[in-house]
Amino acid sequence: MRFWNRLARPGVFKRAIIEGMTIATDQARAVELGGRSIESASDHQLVAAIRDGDEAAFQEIVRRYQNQITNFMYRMLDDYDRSVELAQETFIRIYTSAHRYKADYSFSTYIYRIAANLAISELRRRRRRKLISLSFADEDGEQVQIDPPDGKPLPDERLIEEERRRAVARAIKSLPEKYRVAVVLRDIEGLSYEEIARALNLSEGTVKSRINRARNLLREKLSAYI
Amino acid sequence: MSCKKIRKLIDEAERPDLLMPEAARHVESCPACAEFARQRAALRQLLASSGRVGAPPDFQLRLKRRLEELTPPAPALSPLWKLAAAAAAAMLVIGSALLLRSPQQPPNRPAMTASSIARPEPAQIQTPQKIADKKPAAISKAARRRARPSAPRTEELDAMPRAALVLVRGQDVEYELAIPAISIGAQPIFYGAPSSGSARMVKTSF
Repeated sequence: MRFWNRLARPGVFKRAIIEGMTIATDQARAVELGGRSIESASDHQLVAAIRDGDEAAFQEIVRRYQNQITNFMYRMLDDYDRSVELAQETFIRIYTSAHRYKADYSFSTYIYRIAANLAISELRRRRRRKLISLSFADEDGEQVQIDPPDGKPLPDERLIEEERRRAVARAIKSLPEKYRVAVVLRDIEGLSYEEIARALNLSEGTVKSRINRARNLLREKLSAYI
Repeated sequence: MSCKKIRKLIDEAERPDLLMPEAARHVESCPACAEFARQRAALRQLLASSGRVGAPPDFQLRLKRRLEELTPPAPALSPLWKLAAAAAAAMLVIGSALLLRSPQQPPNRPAMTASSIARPEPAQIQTPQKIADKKPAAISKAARRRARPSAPRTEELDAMPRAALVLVRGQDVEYELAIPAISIGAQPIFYGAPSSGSARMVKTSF
């Protein structure tokens, strides 16, 4: 058996997974998983199936978490295209390290840990490279982000909402990364303190402290909307 | 409990409207803490309702492409390479058996045939009982079809040089025979005549 395993071409298993991803979503959902439908399978069961080469299980995990992880990345980076890339990188790491996954805690904690590490690494990389975003300082010296206008007049309500959204994005972006990741996971992604502590490998006390500091800073920047 | 501790409880509440009884009672009587609780609730609501973005429609397709870049397609093995690999494995096994069993022949010795091999001493190989010589059943047409068209004929096999001895042991019979080199890596089909102590190969699957 070992002999034939050595003869087996490398990548055959992975190619089977990739080719299987072309299966239509409806067909993938019809695949049975240990007697349960794939949609009703738990995250742990899906990861175990991914470890065994089940491409439909991997598709299901991506379907379940792609929006959450993309939104988390966007809140951290304020750059949609890069957020999508890093969200995909998160799933690639899930796929390539499925054999190392242990069901000691919830899968959402696991995936957010990977996503948080990628986001923080990206922020540090940008800081080192001193990337300058398209912005200028207003009369008060505050950096203001510029979004290219689309030329269409917006109703007042939409203008107000759009300005509020930008203000929140700016405020979050102004936070130090260790406060930013904690408050985004808590107040935007809705993770519990315990889940955040596991994802960031911190104590609950440290998590609560960082969230408290983040909220204090945000309250100052968003006082006009509170 | 001090206002500082109450505000800590307010901040750590799972939901702004789910304060601990002690904190709720304090907020009712302390305007400063009540204002703090109101601002905290408004901030959390603002963050939670700041709009969410989702993955683009082609997210899974782009993910698939990235995975493909990580694992380049494996080149398909041609049948010739598979055959070579199988033959190499068989030669390794047979060669090991040769080294353990018999010395190498000098290159100037004449090729052996099945009939020229000396029968072993009775003490070495015991034939429990003799069976009557019977004309064996003809090889079925299906078996012949399974053999490759290029398989050598019986008389050709007899003339081929021998490369190994094989001990054949059945329920009622035991004999040894020599197989030619061509059978290495192949599945030979034999006709044996145990009473004569020899057998010859009829076909190979090679």
